Amino acid sequence: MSIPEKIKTWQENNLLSAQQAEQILAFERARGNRTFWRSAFIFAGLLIGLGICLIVASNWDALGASVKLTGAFLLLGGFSYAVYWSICQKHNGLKELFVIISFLLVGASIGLIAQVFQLDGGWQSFAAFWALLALAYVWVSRVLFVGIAWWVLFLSGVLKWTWLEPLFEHIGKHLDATSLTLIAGLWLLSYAGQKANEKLEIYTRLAAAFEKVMMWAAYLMVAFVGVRWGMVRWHNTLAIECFAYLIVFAFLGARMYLAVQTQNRASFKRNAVLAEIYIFGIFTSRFGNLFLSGLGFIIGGILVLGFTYVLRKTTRYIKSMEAFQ
Amino acid sequence: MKKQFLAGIFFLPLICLMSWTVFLSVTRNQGTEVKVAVMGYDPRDLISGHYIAYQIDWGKTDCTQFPDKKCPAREFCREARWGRQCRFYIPEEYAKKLDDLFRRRSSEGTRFEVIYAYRTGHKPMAKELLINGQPWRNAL
Repeated sequence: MSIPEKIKTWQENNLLSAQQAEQILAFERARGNRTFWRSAFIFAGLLIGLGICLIVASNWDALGASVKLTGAFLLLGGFSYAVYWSICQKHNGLKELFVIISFLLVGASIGLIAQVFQLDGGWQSFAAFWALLALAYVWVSRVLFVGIAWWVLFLSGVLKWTWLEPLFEHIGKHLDATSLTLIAGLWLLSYAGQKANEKLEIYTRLAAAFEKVMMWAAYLMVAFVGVRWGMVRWHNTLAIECFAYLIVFAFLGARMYLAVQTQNRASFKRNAVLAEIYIFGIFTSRFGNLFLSGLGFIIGGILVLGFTYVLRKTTRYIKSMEAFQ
Repeated sequence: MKKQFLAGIFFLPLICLMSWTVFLSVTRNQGTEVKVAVMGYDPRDLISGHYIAYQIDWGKTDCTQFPDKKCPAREFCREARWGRQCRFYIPEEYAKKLDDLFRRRSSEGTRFEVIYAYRTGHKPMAKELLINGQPWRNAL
């Protein structure tokens, strides 16, 4: 139900006066506009910053190296001042615009220097250096995805592929305590991020972003285990498949339990939906060959309708659950 | 005081990058120029920007250019999955032409070399790409 509809219902039940209703609607309209402009600034910042990166990447021969470097430094200096100015003026929308552009400009400048001086450092040193230099801008941003982008950049810069590759190879070939430990480890890191965010939220959203990145990594790990060992039938024995199902459902079940404890309906719904998608996936993977025919397409379509119906019923039921009233 | 600190924090990346540029420029100009022969490589990288990826052909390089008359193979380029990979960045408008020329070099007998600024104990820096002894821009 939208806010105006809710307000109308409350008015009809004498919970709100006409004046209060009008004030709430005016407040929400103003907030909505601010949200629109903030989103527009963020999107514009992304486009401008990426555009600069692409210009640097094309390596224009028409401009000399010193001209390109001077231009890049002037731009970075200008936008750095703009970030400082927007913070002093308390203009949050513009601050996010300038932060995003500055963040991308740091990467573009490093790329430009590498081009001019023919450096061959590779992605890791590039990412680590970029993350380090851009930290100040990311620290002041209140946009979660900026923090998430920074963490992905930072982790890709410091975690060597030579460390990760054997780990993933092992998990791909063996379903054992290593997979469980990795999933549990990622979940613990996410929890640590959540706790850190409670203390640091007024200063920065980096802790909240870390929590999200670690939780997504845990979900990805569970999905990898669930698909690799639970659905790719011809490689596995029944015992291994069941163990994979157990890992997936235990993880999602634990997330749903925590959601009830913390009254987080969105999380409960998300994990319930993921569990249903996984069940649907198991079902279709068992009868995969059936769908390679005209009759199979028809049955598949009916199954999708059935699945969608079940999903809708689930989400409506979750909304009405006593645990979330 | 707080405002000055804030301004300083935001200008710090710019100062770092400018200092790094000056350092690289000085290093490149102070090194001795050495010419190395290059051979093909299989470039697989996500970094944007066009470049020729190559390995140094130490067998065809004159090692008497270096101190102790020994080729310092480990000091050049970075370790990649298929050995030591070097890069030379090229402008977008010449990328295809140079890339094709580089790939056909064996069949057409084209000689590719790179001039590096070399100083013992410092990372060598590529300065120029030579095609049959000429700077690449003249050769195209």
